[in-house]
Amino acid sequence: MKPEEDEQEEAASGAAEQKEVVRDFHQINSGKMQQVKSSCNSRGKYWQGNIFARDLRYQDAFRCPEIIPQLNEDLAEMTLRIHVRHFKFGSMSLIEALRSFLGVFWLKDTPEIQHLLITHFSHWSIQCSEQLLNLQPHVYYMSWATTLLIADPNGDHKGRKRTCEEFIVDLKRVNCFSQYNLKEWKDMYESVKRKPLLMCRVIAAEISKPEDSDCNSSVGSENKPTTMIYNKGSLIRKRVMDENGGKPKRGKRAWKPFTAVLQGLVLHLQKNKATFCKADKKNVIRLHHAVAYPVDYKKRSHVLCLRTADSRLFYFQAESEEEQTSWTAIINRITARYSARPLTSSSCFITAYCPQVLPSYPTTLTIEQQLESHKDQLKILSNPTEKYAALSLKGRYFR
Amino acid sequence: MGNFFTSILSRLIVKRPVRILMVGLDAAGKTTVLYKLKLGEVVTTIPTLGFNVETVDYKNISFTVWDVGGQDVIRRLWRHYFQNTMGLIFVVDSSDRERIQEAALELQNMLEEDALREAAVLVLANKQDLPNAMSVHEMTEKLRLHALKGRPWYVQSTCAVIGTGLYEGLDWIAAQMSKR
Repeated sequence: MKPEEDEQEEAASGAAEQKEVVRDFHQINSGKMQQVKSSCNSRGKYWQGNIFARDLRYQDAFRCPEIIPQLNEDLAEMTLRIHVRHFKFGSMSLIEALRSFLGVFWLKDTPEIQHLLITHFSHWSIQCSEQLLNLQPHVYYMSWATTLLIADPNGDHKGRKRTCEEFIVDLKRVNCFSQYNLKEWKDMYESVKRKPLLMCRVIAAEISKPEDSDCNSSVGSENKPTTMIYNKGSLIRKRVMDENGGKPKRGKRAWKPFTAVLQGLVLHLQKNKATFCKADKKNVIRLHHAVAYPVDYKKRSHVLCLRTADSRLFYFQAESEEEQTSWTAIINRITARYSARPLTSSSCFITAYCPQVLPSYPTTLTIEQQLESHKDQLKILSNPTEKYAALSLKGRYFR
Repeated sequence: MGNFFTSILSRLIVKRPVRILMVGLDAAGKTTVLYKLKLGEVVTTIPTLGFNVETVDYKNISFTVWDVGGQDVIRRLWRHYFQNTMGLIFVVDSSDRERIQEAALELQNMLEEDALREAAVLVLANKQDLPNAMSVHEMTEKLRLHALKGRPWYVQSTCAVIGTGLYEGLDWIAAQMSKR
């Protein structure tokens, strides 16, 4: 017994020593970290702002409500200052510049950030058009007044649009204009009225109802393909094959009715008709690189088959033949338009197996580029297909 | 006989440690790749000063991944991490066409080091979701990888923010390590 106890004691003392060492190490380390942090704080902020700004500009997924807590104080200042520099206004008129600027990013219900956005916009647009810097307040107020025509941040004009008089009163109130005259203001108002500013709004509230997003679909459908609702209806689903060709369990293969909502590249299936909430992650089918086609099913009519990128296979029974064709067409159209190019790889061994990965994010290509990329894919695929088709079936298995 | 079984069991159960070094230019996404592999989620990162190190267990191999900062002033510190490195992950921002030559130069310089002569090279062509990203073939040519003789290399396009392609890259490294 005794030697064992000794060993335990030794082990305990050893552990205590180790703990002390670890603690000391942590203390030294944290001190160092503090130093490094304070010395590099400004540089770090610049970099983080830089990264944020680039993501804001180029990634739709980045413009989400979660961004708001991230954008605080100094960081927001830095981010938006760099963000605005991604735009090239050149000799655009003020209204055109504002149009292109607000179409990318605008936060609703956060006056501080709106103020920053407009301030930096006014500075940058003046720099771009090489005007005098003391014009900045004018541009600032003009931009604000124009934005107010649609944004209504204080909520005083619920649902009602501002009239031309109110617009002019707004501008007169700030009363430091020498350059713009009444006629110009009126022209500006008319131009906004003819063609409303499209804002890529990021709403602070969590869930936008489907009705809302239907209205907002005019707000840059090209900008946000991921949130648009393309089709709705009721479908009866059967799981035929699970991931990687596995067969679902006995109880899971049955036909089950669902309310289906096709939003972006995702098909949401709800059991409950009344509520549509995105939180239900269980019955969600990602449609990137999927293909749908009608099938002849003996026991049921109007059945279409859906094959997804992870080689799952579903049967859906639609309500009518029109529904069947419309679902097939819409699914195929959406997947063809928004599926991103597959991620490829290459190796030093030419004969090595290089798998393709099918990414789930939506593509950033324009519709023409997307068509070109599909043609390229077809070309790449047609070579091996022809080779296999040319092979004769005279192997020993066929004798 | 017992020895034989232990060797088989250890092959199955005991995780082999492998030391991996992850380098690349600044803002290529190294830290994002590391934490996507480790935690499965995207962390907001600031430029790495010094290094991050994490172990990632995958396919019975325990990868110790050293993620070293990539800003130009601290690139000369990379060679302090070269000892015992069995695999090199070189992360490149595919959308940054202006600095691809710089990346190629850094890679060539690094591979001339004696400590890295046995290391397998995995190039992650990151940020594929951005517009105007370079394809794998373009990347291979720009980095002049075909000129590398006697060293296994592999280029995998990835999107670290989503996580696509990362494990395919690790698959390749795992296959290379189990060959040895």
